[in-house]
Amino acid sequence: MLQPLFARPAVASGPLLHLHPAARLLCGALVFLAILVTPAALGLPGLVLLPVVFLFMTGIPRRQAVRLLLSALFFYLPFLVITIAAEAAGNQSASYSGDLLVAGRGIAGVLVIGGALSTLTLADLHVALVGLRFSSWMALLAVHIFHQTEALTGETRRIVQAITVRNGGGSTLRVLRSLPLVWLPRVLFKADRVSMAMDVRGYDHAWVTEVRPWRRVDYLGVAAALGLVAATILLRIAGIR
Amino acid sequence: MTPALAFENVTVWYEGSDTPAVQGVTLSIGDGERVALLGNNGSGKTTLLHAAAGLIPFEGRISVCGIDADRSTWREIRERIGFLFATPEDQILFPRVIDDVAFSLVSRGVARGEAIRRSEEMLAELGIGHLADHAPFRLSHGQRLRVALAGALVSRPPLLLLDEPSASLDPPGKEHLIGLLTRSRGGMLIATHDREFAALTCGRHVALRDGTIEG
Repeated sequence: MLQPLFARPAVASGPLLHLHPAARLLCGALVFLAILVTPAALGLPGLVLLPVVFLFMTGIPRRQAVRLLLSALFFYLPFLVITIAAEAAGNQSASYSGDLLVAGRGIAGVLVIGGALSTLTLADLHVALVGLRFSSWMALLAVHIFHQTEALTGETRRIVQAITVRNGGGSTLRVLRSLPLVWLPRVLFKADRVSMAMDVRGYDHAWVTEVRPWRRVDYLGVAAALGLVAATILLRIAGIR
Repeated sequence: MTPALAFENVTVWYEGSDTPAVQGVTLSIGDGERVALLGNNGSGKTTLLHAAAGLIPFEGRISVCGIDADRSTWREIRERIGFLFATPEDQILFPRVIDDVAFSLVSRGVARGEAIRRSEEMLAELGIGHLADHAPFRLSHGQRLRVALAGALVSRPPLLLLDEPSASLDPPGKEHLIGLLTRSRGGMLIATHDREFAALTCGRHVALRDGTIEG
């Protein structure tokens, strides 16, 4: 799921991409909120519609969307199976609609957040966080965490490739078993080198990022997402639970 | 004239080792002078560069542009140094190439707009102007090396410390680099295995063997 963040250009190419990065992030968070508040009476169709429309707005490629859905299922299916099994064991007449709804909200939430992130490169994320008035220090820290995660992912990939090649026809289990032994010292050594580079390059100085002004279309996008949240809250107030 | 870099009887020990990695090195690099540090693996080339940037403790005396290196002067010294590490991706700290290069200027007090403009020029000089908007981790090793080099060169520091700058560069990239380094005005200490590159770039060659200067 992190993959889209680092791509350049951003993976998605829908209308949402025309908004300021901060507005994109805000729209994603608001639609996520709307999913949490959506009345249960609208059922699963309501929860399907919101992420589908949002993903369409992001323009995320179908393959990425399917990947996102699979990762959401990976997180929520075990929960669903376990709770249903537990309820079935305790109560023969149990209703599973509540469990389904929780899992549905979770999956829809992952799709929306993943979709929003697919519209951002890591540099956009920095601009977005600064645009949302996060302190420069916090924005930089968040970006650096993702940046170094990518570095570690690359390092891990190279280690796995090296072990696999040197392991010859050995089993995958053997590769997995030897991975931590090789990985940990390598990562510690790398952390040491990165810290040296940060020292030499004066990383403790504040980094001034690009500040992009908001345009009317950015405000309109956020207003539409806010309207969606307001509508779901009004439905609840109207007694639709 | 004040040398760009001076080592005086410098010795470096690594923790837990019985023998010093570098022993009694005395070497001076004049302002604008380009010196190649040659030697086999483990001869102490990288250690000497790291000591010059204050990254490891040492015995003896090191001065950069006339400033004696000690705990209180490292920041001042590092502002005068452009450093290229042997593993370039370790020194790329930003998610966009142009931001990473510009950081070297912004951290030295240059305004962001001006920093971006000069960084674009430097990337173009290194033949990677088209990569300005790319994420560094999507680049090849050679391209990353050039990005890290751009970050080291862009502030036109009075002293460049380069660890294997020609490694993994293709022939055109190497030519570009030689042209760029020979046009640069600052002093340089270049650790390299590449004798041809050293001959084309540097006016003086110093050989290290088992941590001491040969000859």
